[in-house]
Amino acid sequence: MKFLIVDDSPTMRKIVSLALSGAGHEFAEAENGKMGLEKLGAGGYVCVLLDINMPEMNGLEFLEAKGKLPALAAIPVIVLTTQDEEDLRKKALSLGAKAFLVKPFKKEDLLATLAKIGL
Amino acid sequence: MTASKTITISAALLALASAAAALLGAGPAITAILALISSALAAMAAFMPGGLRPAKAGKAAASAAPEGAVADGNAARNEGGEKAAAEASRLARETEDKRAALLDAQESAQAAAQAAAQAAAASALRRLRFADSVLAKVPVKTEEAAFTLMDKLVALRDQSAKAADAALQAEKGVFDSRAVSGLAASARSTIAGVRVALADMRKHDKDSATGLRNLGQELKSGIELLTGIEEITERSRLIAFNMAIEAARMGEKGRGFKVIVGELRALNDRTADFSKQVSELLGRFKKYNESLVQTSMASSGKVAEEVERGIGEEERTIESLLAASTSCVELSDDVTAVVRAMNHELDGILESLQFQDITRQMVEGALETIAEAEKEMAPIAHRDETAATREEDRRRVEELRSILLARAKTRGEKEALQEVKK
Repeated sequence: MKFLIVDDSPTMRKIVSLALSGAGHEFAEAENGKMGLEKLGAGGYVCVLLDINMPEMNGLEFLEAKGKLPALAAIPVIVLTTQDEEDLRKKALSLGAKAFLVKPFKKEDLLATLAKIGL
Repeated sequence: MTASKTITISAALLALASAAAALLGAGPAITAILALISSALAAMAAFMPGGLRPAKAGKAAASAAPEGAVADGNAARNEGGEKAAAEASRLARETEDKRAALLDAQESAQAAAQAAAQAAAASALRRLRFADSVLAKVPVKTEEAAFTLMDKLVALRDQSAKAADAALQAEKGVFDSRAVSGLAASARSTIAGVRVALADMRKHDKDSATGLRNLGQELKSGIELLTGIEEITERSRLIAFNMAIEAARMGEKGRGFKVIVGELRALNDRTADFSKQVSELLGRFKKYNESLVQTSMASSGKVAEEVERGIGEEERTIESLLAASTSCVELSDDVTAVVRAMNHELDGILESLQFQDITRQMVEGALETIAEAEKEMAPIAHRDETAATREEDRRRVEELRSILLARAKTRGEKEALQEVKK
């Protein structure tokens, strides 16, 4: 299974990729929402792990744009953010995110969340 | 920016300093920098438009005083004649002079205050820029450190995976060992069976030897019996001789009797030969039997000894194999436990490293605040620089750098401070 990690922090991308590869999954990386949409459009991804606070196109804008593209709308998104705010959580979930994890998160929490959505 | 907003940012930066100190382990330097930023912003607040209000109020009060004095002079001229008018005029002039002198002094004081404010603001601005350049290096440095650490973790995880693989192979070996222990138990049972069979064989050999010895006794008895036959044959030969004498005496009448005597003699001779041959044959049998008893006993003893030694070696091999198998089980269990613990630790480190991203975002927020403060301070700090003010600023920056270097605990902090342009 191939995952797309969308985060402007190289450190976070590396941490998430290590967690995924440790569980035997494949992955690709994007630095912001815009690049994430481009990569997602190429196909082959089962899930997106999305940061919120990013330059160019932030996580909420990514969710909104992805929701308008029928070919991509069904791909599940898990939000990974440092902003532990209830309003943000509600907004992300209303825009189609399947789960909302606050950084720092445990590897087992991430894998349990993936398992919960059948991955 | 208002004074209250500046103070709020200062407080936020101080809070950020504490948080960054806790997260990065580079606390003292960053705390010091942010404390400096905070003090710089506080200094800036003191020279904001709100801070100058008292001086403006004083100027307004000074302006109001001379107008009152002129009005009093005019009233005196109307009521008290020339002298009074002259006195009033003199007083008015004096008042006017005092007013002018007061205004001059006020303007000079205001200009001096303005110059002092500009100098202080310029110094604060320089310190802000210094803090900005140091702070900007924090995310880069922590990211470098995080990546170096993660590369090491990846290498460690690969090694750990290899160890886990080896442990798995060892586990397989353990199953083999368990199979071996099953085989060993079976072999032990077989060896016990062989021992029983060997004991049976010894008993059988012993019985055989006894049987052969008994056979030897029987042969001896047989040879003795043949001696008795020889005696009988000798006697019947003697009888035949006597019968021949009697037949000769009888003449023609004893002819038939003579034939019988002849046959009897022939029978005696054949019996004697047969007896002799049987005796010799039994003698050889007896010798063979004796030899067989000796050889059989010696051979079976040797075979039993060899089998016994072989079984002993087999038993020792099985015991050492079982001991090795037990060690192998324990070792593979230990390796598996260590690998599990190591992977758990790695997961914990990956979780901790996420603080780098949180710190980066906090520092970026602080840098934005500093940039905003710099933008607002720039007009206030605008002034003609002299060699003396430049030298003073340079001295202050170097002093600050020395303090931070003395407080720096890590090499990274020191390098970052040294790299900041003078």
